[in-house]
Amino acid sequence: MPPVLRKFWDQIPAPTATLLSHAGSLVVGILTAFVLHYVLYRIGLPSKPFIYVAF
Amino acid sequence: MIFTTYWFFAFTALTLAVYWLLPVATLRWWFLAAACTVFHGHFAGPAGMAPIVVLMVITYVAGFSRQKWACLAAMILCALTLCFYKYALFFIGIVIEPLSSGFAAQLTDAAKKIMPGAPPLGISFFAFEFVHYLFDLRRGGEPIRHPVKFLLFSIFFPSLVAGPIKRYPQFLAALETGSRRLVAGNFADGLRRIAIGFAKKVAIADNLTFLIDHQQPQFAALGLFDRWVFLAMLAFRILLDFSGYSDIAIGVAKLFGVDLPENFNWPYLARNIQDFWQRWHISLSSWIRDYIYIPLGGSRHGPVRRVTNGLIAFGLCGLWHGPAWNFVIWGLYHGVGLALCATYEKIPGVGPAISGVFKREPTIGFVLTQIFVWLGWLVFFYPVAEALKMARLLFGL
Amino acid sequence: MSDFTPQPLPATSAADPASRPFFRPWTLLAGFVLGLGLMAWTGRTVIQRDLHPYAVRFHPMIAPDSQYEPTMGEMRAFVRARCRPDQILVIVGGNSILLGVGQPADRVWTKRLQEILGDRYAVVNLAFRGSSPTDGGAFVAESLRDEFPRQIYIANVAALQAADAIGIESYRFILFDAYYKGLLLPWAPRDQQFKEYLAATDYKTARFERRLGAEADAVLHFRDFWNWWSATKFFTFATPYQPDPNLAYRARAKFKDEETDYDTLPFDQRFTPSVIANDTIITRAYSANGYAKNAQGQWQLAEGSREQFLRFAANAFPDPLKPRTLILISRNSPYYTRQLETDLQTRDETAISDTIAGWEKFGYAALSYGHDFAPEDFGDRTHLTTAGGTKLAAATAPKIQALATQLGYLK
Repeated sequence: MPPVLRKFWDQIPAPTATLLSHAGSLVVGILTAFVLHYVLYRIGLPSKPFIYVAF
Repeated sequence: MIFTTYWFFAFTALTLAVYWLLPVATLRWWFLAAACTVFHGHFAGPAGMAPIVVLMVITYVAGFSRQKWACLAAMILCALTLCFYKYALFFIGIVIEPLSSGFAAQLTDAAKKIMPGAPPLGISFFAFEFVHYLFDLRRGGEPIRHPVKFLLFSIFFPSLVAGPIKRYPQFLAALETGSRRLVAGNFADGLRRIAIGFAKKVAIADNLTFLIDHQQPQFAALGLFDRWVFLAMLAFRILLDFSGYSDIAIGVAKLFGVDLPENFNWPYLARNIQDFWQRWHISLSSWIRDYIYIPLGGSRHGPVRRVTNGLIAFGLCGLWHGPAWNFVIWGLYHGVGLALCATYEKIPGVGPAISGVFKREPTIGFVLTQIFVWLGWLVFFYPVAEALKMARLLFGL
Repeated sequence: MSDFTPQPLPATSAADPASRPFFRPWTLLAGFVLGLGLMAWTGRTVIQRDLHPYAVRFHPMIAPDSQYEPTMGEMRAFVRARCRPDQILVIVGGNSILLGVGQPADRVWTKRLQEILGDRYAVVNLAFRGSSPTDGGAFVAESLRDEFPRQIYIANVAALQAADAIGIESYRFILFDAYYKGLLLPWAPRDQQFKEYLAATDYKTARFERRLGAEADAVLHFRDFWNWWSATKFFTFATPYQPDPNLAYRARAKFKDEETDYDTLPFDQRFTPSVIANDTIITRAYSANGYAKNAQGQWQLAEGSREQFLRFAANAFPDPLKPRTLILISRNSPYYTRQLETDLQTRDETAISDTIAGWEKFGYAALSYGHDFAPEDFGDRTHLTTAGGTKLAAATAPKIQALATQLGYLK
């Protein structure tokens, strides 16, 4: 977390912060699922992903 | 790309489940080593695995012996193997071809007969990690005695194909610590990181590729602003693609409790070229620093040697990206950039003045650095003549 | 050059112990599981809507031509939206000829067929370019066998053309989808073919990969969800088929059906010298394989070729579905066939008769069309103009009606 946000985050009162962190984590978890769900769709298609260099 | 296969997803999920169901860390290591072998075999095939296994055994034995000459011999073998599989045809083309095209053709045919269709999977990474291991042993490091741990260091599947290039002390420490118990935080961080990596790569970089491929043929016809937008797309495509790949590798390792080294740290915020190379492909640039630049003498023998060493190191860094001239030139371009960055302050009169400007207005350094780096991508991706033409057009010339 | 500042390689564990963490791991993991569940449920749910309410067929922008791969769920919804339970469902499968390439959407032959058959029937076009009779439309019809028991499936072949029970490679994604979602009847010959296909030595890895994808999709419905998204929101990646960046991401359901209209394309553009030369060779080879003249001077199919064809016909569709399957045998345009020697014309007719007999032997209905068509009915060697499509509809409708009567659908 960038220092500015960190400072802001540390100033939020505990009960609110707990609520926010649970809500934020839940949303991020759902977003993670959303992205991986999309990846599963994409990798089944014939379009090949770009690979910048063959090591 | 290995990460964009269902096999990879299924393998990771299954391996992860069994890994954490096993009751003790030792069993987890044995199981993970077996799983990594299966993974390597699946993607590399027997022909791709064989040279790696040979190198791995030789490296292990040489390290185990702790004989300096054995380590040196093994390092040379690793370097020669890499050169053979990846650069033999390129070297024949640049060294033999000008002398005798007939002999070059014969050599090319002979090399093609004994070489597989493609270099063994991840050969560049194996060679670099083995050389690092052997080099550090020669400097007094402790060898990895446990064969399973050595196997894990060698073919740990998340970093098998495109890094980050690991350092064995950190890797073993991370493995020892992380595999002791399942930590929900690791799991959550890993998943998050994997998602970020895929989003960068699949959702953004791949779409930038489409736009780049669409606009490149008509680059000359684009307006000046659009040409710079094109360059930005080129720059962000490679950043998002490669750092996305690293994110996935780091995230997957994290699911197993293992911390891999970071590979990118906001490189397009760098304020000078030196800063850029401490933020871009960090595991490679630090490898080049530790195992090429410093052994060559680094900055210890005066400015001429310093610049020469830098050019050699970055020429090789460029060549590492692929056996083609444009990669070498890209490396040398950065070598020159670093040399300028490191020496301009010593130019009498002008140097301190410029340095003063950069200190007062850091934004100028940032802008110049990004222009330099982004222009470099033209040489990286396109033939040199084409890249130069595009660079001229960017400045309306 | 300066040395890089020596620094230990940073690792990923960058938590700041002095500060409270933002993320709650267990909540994040719960969100992840919940998210996957939600996505799967949404995919399963939204795919039951008709994603292409204005489409009369799967034109290139909603077909694999443009990297849009319709799912079984999507095609089943497409059918449901076009057929009431009280109607007899007529699903048209097969290739570009039955898709109606050469006829604009408002004059496509299946529309004419619908007009002739009337409201008692519902004609749904599920043909795809280059598809075999046993591809997409066939699997959709089979999967709807209980929901629409009064159904007729139509597809086309050339004379003696083999129809593998597992379709062709380009459309095998539909088979994978149907198979691993458990939508197909058990049919031993097809199951065996599919097993052998999956185990083929040279392709084992690639096919196992597809199998894994299909099995995961059966649980997570990612293809359903993202096809819904691509059709109704925006397409998520660009393909060379749609090179215009302004259109590349447009929702696929917003694209109009812009199949070529052969009626507006001058003859010279459709029949260029190179096309004519190439199509003449193809026309001459239409019935070349396996035929030789017997002692009486008549064309006769070699026993090996006959057996091979009959084996394909026997295995192409599950036994219970054979009687409701109408196979149309496509001919070449008279522009080309009229130039053939009488002997070759006879050979073609013999092949067509043998093909019809072969399919009928196993209980399918079969019909050849085009023998009375004029050159203007064809836009090229095989595809039909609007006039040709109208004639095809007129030729096919009585056969469908007879089949419906025979199958007891009209009671």
